Amino acid sequence: MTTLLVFDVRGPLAHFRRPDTAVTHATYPFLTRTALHGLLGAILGTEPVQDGWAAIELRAPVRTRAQQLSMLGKMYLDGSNTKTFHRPTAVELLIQPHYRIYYTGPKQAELAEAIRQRRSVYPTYLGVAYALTVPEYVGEWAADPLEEADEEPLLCRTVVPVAAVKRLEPLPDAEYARVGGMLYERVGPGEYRGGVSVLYNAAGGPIRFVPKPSAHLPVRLMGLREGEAGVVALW
Amino acid sequence: MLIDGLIRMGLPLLNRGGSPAEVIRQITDVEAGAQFFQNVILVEIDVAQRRFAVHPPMAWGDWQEEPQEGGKGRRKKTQARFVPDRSRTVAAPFVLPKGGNPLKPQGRYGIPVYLVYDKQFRELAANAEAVRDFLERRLARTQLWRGAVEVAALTAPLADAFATLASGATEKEKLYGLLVLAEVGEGHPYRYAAAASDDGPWVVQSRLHPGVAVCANLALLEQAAWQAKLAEGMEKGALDDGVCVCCGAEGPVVSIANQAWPLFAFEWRAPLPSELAEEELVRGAALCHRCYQGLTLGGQFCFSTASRRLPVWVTRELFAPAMSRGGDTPRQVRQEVYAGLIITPLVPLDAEAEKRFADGLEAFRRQTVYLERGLPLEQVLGLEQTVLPETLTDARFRLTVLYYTGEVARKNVHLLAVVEDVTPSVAQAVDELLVALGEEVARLCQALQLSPARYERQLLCLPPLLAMAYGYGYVWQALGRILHRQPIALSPMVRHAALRMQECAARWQRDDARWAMREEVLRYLVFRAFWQAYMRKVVQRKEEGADMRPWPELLNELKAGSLDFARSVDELGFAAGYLVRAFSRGYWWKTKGKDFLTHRVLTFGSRLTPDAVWRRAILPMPEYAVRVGLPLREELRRQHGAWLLAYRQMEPEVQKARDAFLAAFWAGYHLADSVLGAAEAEGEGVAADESAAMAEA
Repeated sequence: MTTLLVFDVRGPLAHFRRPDTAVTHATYPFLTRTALHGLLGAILGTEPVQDGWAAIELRAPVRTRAQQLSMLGKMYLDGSNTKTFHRPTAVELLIQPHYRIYYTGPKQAELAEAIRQRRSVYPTYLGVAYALTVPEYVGEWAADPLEEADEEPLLCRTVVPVAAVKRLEPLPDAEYARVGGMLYERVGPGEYRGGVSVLYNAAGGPIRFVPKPSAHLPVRLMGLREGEAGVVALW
Repeated sequence: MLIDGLIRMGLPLLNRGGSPAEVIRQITDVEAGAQFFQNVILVEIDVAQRRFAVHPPMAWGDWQEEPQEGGKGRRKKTQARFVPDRSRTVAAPFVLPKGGNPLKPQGRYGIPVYLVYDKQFRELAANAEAVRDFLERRLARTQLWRGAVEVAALTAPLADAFATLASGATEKEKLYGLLVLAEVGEGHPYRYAAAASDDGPWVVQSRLHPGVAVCANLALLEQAAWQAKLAEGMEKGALDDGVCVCCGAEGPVVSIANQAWPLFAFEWRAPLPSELAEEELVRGAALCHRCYQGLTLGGQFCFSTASRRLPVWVTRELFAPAMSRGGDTPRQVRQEVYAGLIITPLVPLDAEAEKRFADGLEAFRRQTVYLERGLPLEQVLGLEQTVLPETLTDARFRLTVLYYTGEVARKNVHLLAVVEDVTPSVAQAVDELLVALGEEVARLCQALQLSPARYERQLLCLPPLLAMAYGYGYVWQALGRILHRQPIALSPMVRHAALRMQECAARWQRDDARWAMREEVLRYLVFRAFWQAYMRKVVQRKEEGADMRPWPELLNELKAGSLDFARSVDELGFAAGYLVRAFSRGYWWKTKGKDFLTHRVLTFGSRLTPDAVWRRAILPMPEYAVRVGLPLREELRRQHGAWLLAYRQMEPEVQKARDAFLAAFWAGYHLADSVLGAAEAEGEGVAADESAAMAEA
């Protein structure tokens, strides 16, 4: 049995910029793994917390809207203010996002304490500084690892890496979608390594699928014993 | 990432292969830059003997006279157009500069084939030093150049060749040309042959070896073109031991910031990770060489083959104000909007399915399926003359639509919306609804005496229909919801329709406002019909607020003397419109041409509200009838009483849904004519007279 720290993050908007866009800022459809690590680090006042396992559940449908913002444009870095200018930039925003995070790892106790007391060392936000959020403590729930090699489909509450999915099973009102090339691991400042493709339900509900052992990406499937029923995929 | 979709679309195209000539045409600009083949200066270099010869300038194609459509009543003119020899042009592949100064060396060159622009012809003519500078700066960026002869030796004869061309051209004539340094020999881009061979086209008759042909080694040219692409990708960094962000492969990688992807302008640095230098962007996110090739082909497909500029009439409607009519003059188009399509498999495909997928993409490229079965994308997405081949409408595929403004070539792309993971079957279902809606538009136009040709395009194409209903700010959001089978709201459309109708009502004494009002009634009822069909057939959910029965049904009941008005606010409003219109026809006749609404209801610029409809239009009808000597039919008298009773009962609901009441009122008012003509003996003549008067106006 494992105990998972469960907490919610939500806000009026969020933006997790896809790194392949610059002139226009497109967003990933939900909180990314690296952004979550950064958020955990902000709570504790440390570098991004990459140790441990986390799962991300979408508690609200993915809704996006493109909005033009005035952003500081060209030649920002060269130090000569004379060349900077503000430029209208199309930014895709996530509207009313709500995520539930499941975490287990070495920082669990510290994080649970901080989130329960609603305190963090640095401001916590959903991808961009103008999307502030305060993590809300839900509880610490017991969960059991699932047995492998079953052909039985699972009802998973969280997003799942494609590598762990053998076959998708349809669900009424579900909108299965895939986001590819999500950055996997932060190596250093601005430096990342690897990518992961993830399946999610854009309508905000669970995914039903037949699992398979993930060859190159570690994924742990756990059945919740406490709290709400279902399976979570930690990675 | 967005490039993940492009890569998943591009890799099957890459795996599908194709002849070297096909690949060269796909990844270079030999088709788009056809004008550069007008003046080809070719230097034949025999690598083995280290000798060279400059060929006289030649044209790789012909000038053809093509008829040109003149204006009305004018004579048809002909215009000369340069048609390149396609079999030969693949022998000199190049990439057109995208942004920046095209006169300067840009990017990477696969083989020494360089574009020469008009200004350069004049500069390089008889100027050996300028030719040397021109060559050295470009050769330094060229992947496949063995240097079999010294650059210095080439400069003088080339300067002469440029001078020959420049002197033969008039001042007004724009010169475009191509300089080809053709290294000939085994293992080189060109080789000697007796004649054109199967694996490479004939390029030119050799000057160094009379009777022998110079042919292109297309396989090597394709390889060089890919190398140049890869070298461009490496400009923002390359690693030998990276991990591909898309496929997870370990090994040599290049940065995702590359020429193949127009949403990433290098020169705009603010959004880049501030910790990394520009040439180290590969450390942020990287692609393996194969995914990079897939990105190149996928990007080419999305932004060239599957990209369309939305027609001007669509763009105009997209930016039209939804809350007001925005004046009666044609609205100015503020910007050009493009749509690009990414087609991807949802899950990895087996070899056979992948081949069929690639064949489908190829069919899309050629649009040979236009007359065959497939999913037309014109009405659903606004992509004119575009059909998704039937093989790609399978449930295993998903569409991503990018709507953007700006210029892809200059890497200045501003996304308006990204609609991801659209299931073709949903798009198909919506398309069928729109086709069926055509009948409703025709019926309504007939009832409202409007020309269907004028409204069909606007009302039967989803983006402008949604823009009209929800306004510019929500059009893409609404489109995304529809393409994902999510419910959409009716109330914003009703609100906008009521506001626009109020605007028309404020100018009711003007005839143009009355026609504008009919137009608004048409838009209101068409969207209502679309919404009801969409919610019922596509979303398959109970429609909340769908409390107005179809208008023909309502009209028939009212004509038959129905007294059941209290079913909903919308139906109460519709009935009010019907009763007012029925009364006003007789009023017009008895008062010799006075409009009831202008004369008694919308007086002194007053606004029409539900209360005004009750208090000023319907309540005093018997009184007005007596005043003007109009005998009220028994049936109308009964309906009048029943409506007043229903209104008193429903007044609180009416006050909460004033927009719904008013929009339905105007619908009932204008549609009443379509059934009242035969019902009222005196009204028939009145209707004809009044319509004639409006038509004359």
